[in-house]
Amino acid sequence: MRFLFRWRKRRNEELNEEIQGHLELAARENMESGLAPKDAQTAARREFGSIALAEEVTRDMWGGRWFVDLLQDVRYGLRTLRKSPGFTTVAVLTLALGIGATTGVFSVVNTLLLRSLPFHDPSRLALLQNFIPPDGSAEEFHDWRKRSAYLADAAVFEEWDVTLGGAHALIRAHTAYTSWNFFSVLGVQPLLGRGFLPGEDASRRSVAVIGYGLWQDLFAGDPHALEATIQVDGKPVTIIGIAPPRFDYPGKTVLWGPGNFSPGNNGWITIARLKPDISWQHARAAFDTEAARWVAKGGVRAEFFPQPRMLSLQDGLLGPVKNASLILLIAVALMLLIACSNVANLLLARTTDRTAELSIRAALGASRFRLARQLLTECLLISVVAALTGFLVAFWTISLAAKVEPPPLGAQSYSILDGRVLAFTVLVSVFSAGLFGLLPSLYVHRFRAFGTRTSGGTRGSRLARDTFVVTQVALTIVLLSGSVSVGRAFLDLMGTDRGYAVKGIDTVSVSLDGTAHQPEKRELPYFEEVLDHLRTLPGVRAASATEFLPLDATAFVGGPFGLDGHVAERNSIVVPVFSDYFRAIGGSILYGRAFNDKEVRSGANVAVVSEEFAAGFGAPAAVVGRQLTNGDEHRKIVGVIRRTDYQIGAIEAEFQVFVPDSTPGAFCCTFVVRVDGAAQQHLARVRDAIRSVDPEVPVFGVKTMEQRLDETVARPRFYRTMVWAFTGFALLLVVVGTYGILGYAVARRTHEIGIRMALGATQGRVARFVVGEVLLMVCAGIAGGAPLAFWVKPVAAALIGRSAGGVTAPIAFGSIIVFGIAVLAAYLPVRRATKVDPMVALRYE
Amino acid sequence: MTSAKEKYQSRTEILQGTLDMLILQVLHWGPRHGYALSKVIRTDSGQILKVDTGSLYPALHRLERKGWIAAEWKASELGPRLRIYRLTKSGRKQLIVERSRWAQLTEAIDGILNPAKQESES
Repeated sequence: MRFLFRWRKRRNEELNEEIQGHLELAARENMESGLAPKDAQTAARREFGSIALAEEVTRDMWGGRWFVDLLQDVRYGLRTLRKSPGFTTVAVLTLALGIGATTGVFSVVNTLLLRSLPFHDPSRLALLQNFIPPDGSAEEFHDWRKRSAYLADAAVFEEWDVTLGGAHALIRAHTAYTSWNFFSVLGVQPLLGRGFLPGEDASRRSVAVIGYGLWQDLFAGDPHALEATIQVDGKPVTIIGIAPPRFDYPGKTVLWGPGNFSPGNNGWITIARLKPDISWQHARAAFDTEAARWVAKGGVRAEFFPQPRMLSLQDGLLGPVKNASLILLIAVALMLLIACSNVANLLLARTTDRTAELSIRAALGASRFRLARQLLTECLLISVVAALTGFLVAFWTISLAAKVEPPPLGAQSYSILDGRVLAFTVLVSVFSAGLFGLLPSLYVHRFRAFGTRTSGGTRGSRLARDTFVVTQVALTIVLLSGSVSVGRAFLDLMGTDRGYAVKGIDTVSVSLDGTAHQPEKRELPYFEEVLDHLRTLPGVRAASATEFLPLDATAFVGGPFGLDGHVAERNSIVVPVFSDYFRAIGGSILYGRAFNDKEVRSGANVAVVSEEFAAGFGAPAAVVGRQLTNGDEHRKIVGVIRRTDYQIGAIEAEFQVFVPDSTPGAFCCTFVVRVDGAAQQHLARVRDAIRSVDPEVPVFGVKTMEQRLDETVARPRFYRTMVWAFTGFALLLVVVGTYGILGYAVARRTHEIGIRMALGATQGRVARFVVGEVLLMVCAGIAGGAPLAFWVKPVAAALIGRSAGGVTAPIAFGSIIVFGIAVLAAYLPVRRATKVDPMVALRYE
Repeated sequence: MTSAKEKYQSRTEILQGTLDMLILQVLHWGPRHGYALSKVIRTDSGQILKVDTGSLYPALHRLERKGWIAAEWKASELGPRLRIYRLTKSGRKQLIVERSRWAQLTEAIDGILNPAKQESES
């Protein structure tokens, strides 16, 4: 850049010299033809014409004129912006928040929705949801996939947590057990060693591929880890391969083993790769036909099972997050629009104030285009500085998002330093600059070379300003109604009567898989010993254990339970529990009784059902003593428990059936300890007490119930906070914007108000007249925004996971708030208007 | 004397688009500086064509940027340093192109002005 300036400077000097040479030669000739030296020079100059013009036009021939102009505009722009630091700061901060938050949310959307998955040819990968292929044996499954008319390949897997026994310590780890071709379907090659071989999923060989992270943790990246043996739930497993870095599909898996096919396993998840020549539409049609046949054949009971669907793997990984992130993007874009209109307003006012300067420049020969370009350059400058500042906001947004809503795959990460995100930011900044710079630039056409001082209250600019207020109000109402309904849904979520206590409960999980208690069928004695120990601790009111804690929605086993052979209207989940569970968790038995120790020890055929289940069969009290049925299985119902919210936020929650847990430890078990006072204070003591019974048993999930709830609602809470933050900022902008516009309008019209007052208008009339205008604008905004706000209906469902009633109340509420805020913002300007002294006002200007 | 003055008064602006060709043609005879160029065009056209300096220098700089002419500074015995322009190879080619275009143009205009002559010739 500096080089360019130096080059131009030198060329300028040379041009000057060249023309001076020309003049000198001409003058010399004139002298030779007899003129006096002075006259000769004058004649030469007259002959030459305008030197400045010749130079100017010649300079244009050098090229890059636009660039020099741009630099000039930028330097001038920077100087003007520095001269009004207040305006610049407000404009830059407003936009920085808007652009930054938009960039942050977009980079999340970019990672989740736009960037392809880190697999081979990911656009052809599908997830067959709610569908289980033939899985009686490995042969059956592989036969099915090979014969498929629309799938090139397919793999199944199931996932659960295991205890890994290393040389040093026990680790709980997420694992997946897969058909042998799992890695090849995804197109992923192990970093070291090999994947599974054909037939390995039928051989029951104890081999495993481990994740890169686990390899680093356990073996410090030593290649000799291949062929080494690790303990998985106490059984030796040989490592045959190391997965590439950051490969952790499905769901943060660190160890993959060959699957174990057996009839009736309903835990399989199926992924597939489409045949190369088939379209998604055709593949979907083919799948729907096959799935319908499968359902008809009794693969599942259609009325209890969600519809089988073929999704792209990307959509399948995202689930509800997809809509949530798009909605956040819309919310943040609305906020950016409001920010832009505010800055546009400020600029418009400033441009009006700069009438004198712009008129003088026009008089000196600047074209309108040049003036408009100057203004747009200033806007771009503001926008660029705002975007740079906004990166801080964006970084903050994505680090928050990564905590609450981490990407589904380890290889994905939210990043701003991504081509698409950066391009988006540039686009948004330029677009914003255009948006808030357009009107002020159009305003330039008013500047004539003469008539330096036009009244600021011209109709065009006032109309523009009024339009801003109306637009802002309309957009804010959309945001406000959205955040009111999100807030209400969240309150609903938090305020639900859960049917169990949240405070005063400590929970600690253990797994007996692979410990000394398991092979000898000594699980139950272990639990009884621990429970006896826990119940003697000071401060412990009750202690029990269960395989499925509320909120732990990952491990439910359910079934179409019924009463005396009549199937209930919804599926139920089975919750195996120990005695005293209901007291420990703070639930209450409505009718009948809880289990006793004897029933737990003997695994008696008894059950406690939830109130909702019972309500489906008439009076809840009447089900006590009747038979709970599931196919051929029978259990005597001994009690009915009050409604318990096991799956928080689930719109279609299942009923619960509690049974005595005589064979605990199949997956893992969680101790539930009701304590006096704060749960946090007892937590470590409870954990140590459990550990003291057998230090070999891995202890994990040491949390209070409150912590578990917090983790569960972290996502909806995050969404709510984001929407509220956007809305809060938008409201602030409306206050500032309305105040600014009104204040400006009143200042501009001091003269007019003065005349009105001189002609006899009272203070009240002036106030009414100013307020009336505000109210008119706000009402127009409400009229425009309210219909738009009806679109927020699905917002709460997508963000919080439950709908929150109608949208009328939020819209009404939003309108009232905006109305109130506008009136508040109008107060000071109106007061100033009524305090106008007619004599001073008339002398104004 | 009077005829020179009449001629001077009836001088015309150079036809749009022909200045480039004239410059190239004059430089074809040898390198020259701007002032000499304008003088040559004026005298060789019998004082009819007057080069406006406001377009001469932009034209020179434009041609230089296109690479048809090149410039260098030379010290003159008269005093000031002078910027001397000369034709380049591509400028020579351009001159041929422009000349043939000009020939076509004059022929075409001639044909319109003297239709009979054209017919009798063909």
